[in-house]
Amino acid sequence: MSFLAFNSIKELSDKLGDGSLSPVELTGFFLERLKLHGPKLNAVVTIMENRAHKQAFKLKKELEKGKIRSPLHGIPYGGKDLLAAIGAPTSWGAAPYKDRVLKYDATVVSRLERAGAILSAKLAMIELAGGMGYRQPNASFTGPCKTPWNLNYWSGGSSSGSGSAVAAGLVPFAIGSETWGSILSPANNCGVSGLRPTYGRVSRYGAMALSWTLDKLGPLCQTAEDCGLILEAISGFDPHDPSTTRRKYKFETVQKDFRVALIKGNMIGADELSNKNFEKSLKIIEKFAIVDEITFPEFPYEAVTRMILNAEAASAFEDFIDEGLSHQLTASEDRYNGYSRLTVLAKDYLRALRLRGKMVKIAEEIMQSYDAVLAPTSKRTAAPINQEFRRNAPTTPSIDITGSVGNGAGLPSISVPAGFSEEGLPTCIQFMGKAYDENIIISLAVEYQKRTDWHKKHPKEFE
Amino acid sequence: MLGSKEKIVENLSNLIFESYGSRLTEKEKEEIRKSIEQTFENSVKLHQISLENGDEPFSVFIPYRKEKN
Repeated sequence: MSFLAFNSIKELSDKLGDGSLSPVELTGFFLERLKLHGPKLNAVVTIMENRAHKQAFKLKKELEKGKIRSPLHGIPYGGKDLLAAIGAPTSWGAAPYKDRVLKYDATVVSRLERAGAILSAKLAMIELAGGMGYRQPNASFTGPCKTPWNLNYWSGGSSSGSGSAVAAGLVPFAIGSETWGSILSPANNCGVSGLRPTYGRVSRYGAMALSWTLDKLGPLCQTAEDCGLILEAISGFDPHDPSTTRRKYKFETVQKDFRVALIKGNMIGADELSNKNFEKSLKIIEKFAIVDEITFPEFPYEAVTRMILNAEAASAFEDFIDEGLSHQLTASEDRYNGYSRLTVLAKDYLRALRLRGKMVKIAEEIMQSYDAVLAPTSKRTAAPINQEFRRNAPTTPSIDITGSVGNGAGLPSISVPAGFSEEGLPTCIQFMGKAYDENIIISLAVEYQKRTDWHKKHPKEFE
Repeated sequence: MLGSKEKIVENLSNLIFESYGSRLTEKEKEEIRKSIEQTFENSVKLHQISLENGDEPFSVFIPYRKEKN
């Protein structure tokens, strides 16, 4: 059965559909992998055996009667442990909340259940999704999460377990969240496909809030196509989350003459091998898209997004800090970093929100002739598990345009594997699109994956 | 921006130390001060772009009515 571990959702769905596999067998298979490999990676918080078995039996009976809810019918998955779910604690990765139980399902969890997916585990994450400004992999009460490609290196964060568990084949897909980099970072370090949807595309009801105007939920999967299938199941208006759009989303690939923009100087500060792998990817992309170089004008992109994040995080965790709970967090810097944010002035926060209006228009104007901006997902491979990841950061100062503009303007982005370093660590590329253009960027990623096999490579230890 | 960086950072730091100082070590206080300095520098960057009176915050307040089923 081990061949199932890295099957795409489409492949698993076909097997479930033709009766060669049942939801009960498939769920049992992944639960065993979660138990066997989860602890090695520090990727799992809670295995939800009872809930998963109950759901699997119900879905098996439905299948026997010919009822198929969606392509996700009978597919197990894991959720980042900031999603409320009946049947397990919701820890937010933070020691003070490790036994806290929320007795309801987040909208994402209930929508996936409606689609027939089976919640099998709550996955590890950086404490409070990095809301206290962590600087090291060891910033979760479950310990530092590892990339399955090399257990001495970090999985990325804050959706650490979501990236690691998918890469190790412990679940076919996982849900993560991103405020600034938290889906794309683990997608990069673990070498899986990860989609950050447009802000407001997916309801955050029942998910921990870090920054109300920046937080997004999205999938991490084996393939870009799988990301589209999951987005279709979890997107849509939700009266419980006023940020959700009423625009409907249906996944379909798009055939067109693609135009992709490359930000001038975007590899400044990248290590040699990431640079080399990016150049190779570029040559492949030029076979199905026109690639032009563009320049973003001078603008305090990072300062705008950082100010918004810091101000909103300060408010989201004010009571937590007041009660002294931050002193129980794992990373030493997380115990005091939150205090400084309590001094962000209202006038600065509002100025950042006003400048955001200018920033979104700059992005829209620059990107209007293009289907996507192409960039490395990260300029560096995963950092060692035992050191501050800033030490691994680019030494040449460079602006994180895709991170600051992408998150500040609420734009979607998809990251896909694009090579390996000498240590066997993945390097990835991202396609960042215009708001609500998920189908375009997924299609670009699908075209890339048709011509490469990086997404079909899996860590030997977990095969 | 009006006011010296040192004075503003000191005043904002004291605001935190006044409320929470008893919980913090000297090293932590120094880290907090550095972090407040970074926020100040971000604020300076934000003030390098001019805004018109009509440049509203890019978030919309929507008056609420409960949806009828």
